[in-house]
Amino acid sequence: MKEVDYISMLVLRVKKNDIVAMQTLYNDFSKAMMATSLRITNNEADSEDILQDAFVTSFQKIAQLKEASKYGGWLKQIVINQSLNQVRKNRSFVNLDQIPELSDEDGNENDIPEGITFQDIKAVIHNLPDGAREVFSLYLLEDLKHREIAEKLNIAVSTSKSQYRYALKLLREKLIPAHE
Amino acid sequence: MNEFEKYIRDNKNQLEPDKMDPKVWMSIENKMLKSNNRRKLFYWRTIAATALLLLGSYFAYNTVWENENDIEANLIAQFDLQEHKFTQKVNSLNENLSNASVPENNLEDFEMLLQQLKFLDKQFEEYMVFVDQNGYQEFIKNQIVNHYKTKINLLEKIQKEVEKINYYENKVPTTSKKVEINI
Repeated sequence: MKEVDYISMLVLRVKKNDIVAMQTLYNDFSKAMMATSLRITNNEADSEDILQDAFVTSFQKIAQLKEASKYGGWLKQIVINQSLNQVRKNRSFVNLDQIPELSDEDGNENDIPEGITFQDIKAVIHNLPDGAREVFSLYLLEDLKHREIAEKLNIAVSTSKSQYRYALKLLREKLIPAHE
Repeated sequence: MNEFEKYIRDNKNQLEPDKMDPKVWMSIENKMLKSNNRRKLFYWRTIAATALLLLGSYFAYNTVWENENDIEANLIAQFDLQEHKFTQKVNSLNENLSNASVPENNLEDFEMLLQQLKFLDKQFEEYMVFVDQNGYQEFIKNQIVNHYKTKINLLEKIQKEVEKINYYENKVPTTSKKVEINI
């Protein structure tokens, strides 16, 4: 993890239109932002476009950023909002009333499946149903609360929670058979 | 949160892509350069008007001693030499800095500047790949000129920093041994 001062210094230079500082910030944040966007859109070309717009917006509106050290969090908000806007029209949630065995007590859920790679995890996340994948990513990987997710996706808090549990269950189910 | 969830959350950086397509940054850079240019347009219009007035006076004054055609040829030659001059300037700065050394405990002051220099060189390689694949388009020409300006600016910054550190080192020597900054 880089020091806070390092990011603040780069932000200060971006405010002076320093293109190298912009590139340094891009190099530091682009992969994480791409992963964040890709988990929401599930489409590489869309996420690349979103990243371009998000970075340009962040550089052009950098004067609005009150605390320079929070650039990363601010950029992530822009990326998440733009990614959610991109998929808003096509978002759908699996009706969980049709799936009976969705409980918190689901066997060895504390165990980490043996032999799995992050490539496996990435592939399984990629294949989760759209709505469940969005909730899963926002809650577990982007640290949003269920209340915030519900607000962003325009769903009930209970839906956010159940879709998360559903995604987690699918993730385990799909990872375990491949390695046991 | 169970162990499985914690495991994924704690290793989420492993879920990032291995590399980014260079065209993403090139597009951002292109947009930012255009945006900066628009902002500067008003400023430069004022400067250009003043410069035109001065240039007009200069030409009027010099035609007494110098043939007008010679001046024009000279200006065209200067314009053509723009890129050549950039590379010459970069080479000269690189040469100056090739053996530059600073006290070891000041080396970390250069970490970010050297890292940016590496980014610039990598970016230049990507421009060249783009030129190979898509030809020498106008926007890439502007970005290459901008690359040179930025690199010169960065090398000059490094040079000034080295001079400043060594100036104080000569005045108040430290026990730290001198090491090259490796440019």
